[in-house]
Amino acid sequence: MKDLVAISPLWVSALTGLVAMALDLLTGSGRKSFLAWVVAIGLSLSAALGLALWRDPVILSFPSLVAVLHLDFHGAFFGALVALFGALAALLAVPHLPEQGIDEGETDALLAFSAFGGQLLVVAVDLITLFLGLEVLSLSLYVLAASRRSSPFGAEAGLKYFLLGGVASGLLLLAAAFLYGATGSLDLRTILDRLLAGSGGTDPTLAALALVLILVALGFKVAAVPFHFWTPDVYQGSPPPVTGYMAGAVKAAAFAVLARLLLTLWEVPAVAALGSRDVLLWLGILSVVVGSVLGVVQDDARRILAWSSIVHAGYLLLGLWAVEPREGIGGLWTLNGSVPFYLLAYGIASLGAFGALGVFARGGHEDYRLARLAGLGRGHPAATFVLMASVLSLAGMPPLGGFLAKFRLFQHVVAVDSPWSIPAVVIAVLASVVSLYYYLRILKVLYFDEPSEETAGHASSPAAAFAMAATVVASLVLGIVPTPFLDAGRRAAQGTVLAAGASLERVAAVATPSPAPVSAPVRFGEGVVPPDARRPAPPVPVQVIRDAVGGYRPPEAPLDQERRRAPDGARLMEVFRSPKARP
Amino acid sequence: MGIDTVALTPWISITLLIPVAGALLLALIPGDRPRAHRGISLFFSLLAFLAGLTLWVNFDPARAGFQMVEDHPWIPAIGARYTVGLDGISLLIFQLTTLLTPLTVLSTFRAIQKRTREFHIALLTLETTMLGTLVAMDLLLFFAFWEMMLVPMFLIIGVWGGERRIYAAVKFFLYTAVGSVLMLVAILYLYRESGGQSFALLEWQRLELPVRAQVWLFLAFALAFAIKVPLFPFHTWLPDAHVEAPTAGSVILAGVLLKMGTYGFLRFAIPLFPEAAGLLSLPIWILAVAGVVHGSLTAWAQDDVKKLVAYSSVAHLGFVMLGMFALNVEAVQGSVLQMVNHGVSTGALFLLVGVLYERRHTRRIDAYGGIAGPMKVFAAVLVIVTLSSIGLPGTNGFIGEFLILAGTFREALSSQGGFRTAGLVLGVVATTGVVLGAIYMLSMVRRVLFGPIVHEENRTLPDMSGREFAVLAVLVVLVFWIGWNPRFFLSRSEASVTALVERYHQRVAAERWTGGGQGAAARGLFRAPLAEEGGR
Repeated sequence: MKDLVAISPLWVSALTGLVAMALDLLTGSGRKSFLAWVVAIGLSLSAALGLALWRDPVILSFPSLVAVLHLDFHGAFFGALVALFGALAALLAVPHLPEQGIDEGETDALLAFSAFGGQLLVVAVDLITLFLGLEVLSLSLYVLAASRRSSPFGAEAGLKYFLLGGVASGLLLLAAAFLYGATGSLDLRTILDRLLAGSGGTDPTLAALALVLILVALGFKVAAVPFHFWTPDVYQGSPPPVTGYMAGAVKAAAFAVLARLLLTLWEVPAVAALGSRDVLLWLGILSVVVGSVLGVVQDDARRILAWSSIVHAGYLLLGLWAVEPREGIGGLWTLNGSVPFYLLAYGIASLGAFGALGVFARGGHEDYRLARLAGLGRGHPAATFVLMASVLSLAGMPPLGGFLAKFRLFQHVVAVDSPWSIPAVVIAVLASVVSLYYYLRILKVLYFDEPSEETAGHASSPAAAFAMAATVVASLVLGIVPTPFLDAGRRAAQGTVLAAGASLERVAAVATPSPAPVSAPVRFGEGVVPPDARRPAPPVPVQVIRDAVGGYRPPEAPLDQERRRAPDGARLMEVFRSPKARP
Repeated sequence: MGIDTVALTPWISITLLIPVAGALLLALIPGDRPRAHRGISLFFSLLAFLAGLTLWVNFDPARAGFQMVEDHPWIPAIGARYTVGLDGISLLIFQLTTLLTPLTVLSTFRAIQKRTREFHIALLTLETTMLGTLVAMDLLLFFAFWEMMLVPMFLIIGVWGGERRIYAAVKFFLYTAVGSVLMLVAILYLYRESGGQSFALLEWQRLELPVRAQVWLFLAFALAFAIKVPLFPFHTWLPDAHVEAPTAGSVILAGVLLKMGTYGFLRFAIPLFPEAAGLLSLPIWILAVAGVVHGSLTAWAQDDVKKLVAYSSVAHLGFVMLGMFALNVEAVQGSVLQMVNHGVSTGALFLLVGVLYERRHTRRIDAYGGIAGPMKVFAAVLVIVTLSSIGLPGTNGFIGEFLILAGTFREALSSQGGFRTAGLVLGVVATTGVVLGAIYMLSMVRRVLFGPIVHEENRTLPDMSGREFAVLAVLVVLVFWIGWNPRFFLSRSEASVTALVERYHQRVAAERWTGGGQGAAARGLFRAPLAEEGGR
């Protein structure tokens, strides 16, 4: 029961989706804007529960599900981002969907499910759960991207996102397999421990290969150059509120897990020697430059924002490159606190921008060429103001959140002890001026151009107005009184590298000369499951093992014992075995 | 420099908040009530002026440091603070801003007819950001205000401007943004070098940075400020922005916004990087004098009144930059006063051009001629303002230009060698610029006001209305006030300027070289590596 409470943020989201589906079925046809409120309230509740419950790190493992969850503020923060972005997207979509003939119940339920996936993703410790979370997040989005069924652009967006996303997921799965091959475990903590122990069969080369695959797979999800080619088409074809969610929530979840996986693997000197962290620097610079330059020639507001999203992925990669020392542990690194804050500010701004675009949808137009936005500032000052404020926040203008986020991020990059830190920031800020040009183009058509016959109609609703006002207020708050959010971001970042307990343990082991207990050599493809461990785990229903990380004391020979209790391989097989076949 | 007095009542913050409160109130008024918009805007800008007067009254001219300082934590995580205060340098420009804004609001009563609510929101927001830039003593706060100035001005030019307003607005925004992003990198670098604890200007002034780093940082700051000033050759955005902006935009742009650049040099670039400022003063002098000559000659060739005034701004600010980098008390005092003068005179000139434009809807000089007859008051005011702009003794312009040139020559004469020669040549060329200024301004006045009336419609032009006269009367009073009693204004900034100059010379003298004057400092820097080698 206690554990059901502990994971309540997860099931509240999932339940919200189910409730939305059921209500959709029960209420027959007609307008269903109340479903958006159901989803918004459910997801906000889930976010609030996460922030309230997940404070001190707790590890929950579900042996029969092969699931290990790490519930701490890192998960709470990123989970809350995903859930709140989902709630905002649901509200923002209220006026948009009926105008475009998109099913409301379906969209709302899928938003809730995908938020559930994102929340699961950021708390997963074992690679199977992690993969499942990513797939729940992505599959819902594949459907959402294609939800404008009658439009060829919608179909293109869905198909492109699905095919390329499928490849990316496959690569991530391959990475999981490599890590399993390298270490014989799917639990990130165990993987790290075994790689660090480093003897015999653990294979840093495989782990480094896995690292590259992870970078490619999640680089795709966050739309980093050169894995960005889907972005403009998908952003253009999806309904704008969904796109805003895609930009904000997927980036938040994917960056959280990218940081977790990469920084965990880079803890291992042997892996770090094979693949330097500087790859993030180069990908970041590339994304910033390419996104800034190519956005200039776009003519559709959504494509402009898509390139802007690529630029932001680049800034975030630079932020990921600029790791900072982990609190209390010398010589170890973690994500710096500006990245979570940046994801928050970016997600809010992009939801505001896409949400405001979404309300200019009267009459089923799905066209957001800049010409159609001409002179909107005159007729619809409020919605246009939201669009302007969001675009300015994306551009990094004070006093909005985007400015402080960028400032903080660059601060961390400048602080990196590398000859490239200053040039990287100079390149990034110069590129930001280039990208400023296309943000200004949006402002220009909104305010300077005269309205024409082409100008879009405005469909509003209290729900969307509320959500839009919320994004502007949030952007201003983030820019003017950022302290609580900066602190939250820093705390969230501290939890990035998972094996907090194990790492502490490791530092102690380095300090004392006694050799750390090392497991028997594990070679790729053999010996993964020691003979004495072939005895399958007892078929307990859901046995929950809880150990607070603060008191996490691995036994004398942690690896051996753990394997005897529930070897990963055996547990893995257990999932696929029918109950009857169990002894 | 330091903190001299702490505010008992946060008058600075109150002054900052008044315009933005007016803007928020305006946002609640329906869009179709222009009279209400104008009234609210005027009321709040006058209120800000009155609140600003309390600062003038409470200001103690004998103190050199910052006064009425308010200091509160803003973002403790990175040590950014909300620290605002005024010293003698910022006080004058601060008052100028609070004075010009209500005058600008008054001037728009007829000129701005469309979307009055949005216009006044933008104008009031702009006032707050400009005032914030002037009082910020925390670099992050300063940078935030500095960037915030861009958006309202961008909208004012782009929405209410002339035919090529979009081009001008985007050019204005991008030019200024390019400059300021490099300043951002410099700020980040300084933050790292200062130990990553605070953004406080007063702490950063104590940093002893190597000259090489200083030069780079100075250049990054200087680019941002030079574009804003605008220093030749970074001035090309200015004529476009000025010509396309509505009258109110031009007045604010010329009167206050450009001062942010010169103010930035005085407040940040010189105190933070004194050695670099000494080293680079000669190149800046050359650019400043080039700006004087280029601005004057280009202004001479214009047949658009507004463009002429815009180029005259380039020339005037060239003088300001010249005086500032002479770095002695007379010259810097002169350039502080000249900032105010330029705001008054050029602001008035733009208002007068606006008066003409409202009547004839053209800015071509040859569309006028002989209008001194029908518009007698206008003619009188235009002549007075023109004389002030070219620096006739008895007007404000004379005091500023005289101090600048006197200080510059003194600086040149007190140095030796190549610097002396260069300084004297530049001083002579700059003085010629004064003559050039008289030529183009007076010829403009002649072609507009005097001679036969060529165009029939000019015969019946109505003279200035009471409202228009009231606005300009305030500025004309200032022209003579500063011209006859400059002490009243100079005494406010004297202590701060003296402290700034002394500090600069201490810092420069504390390095390897000795000798007075910034010329010696620069030479010392050039010579330093050789002297070191000789020593070895």
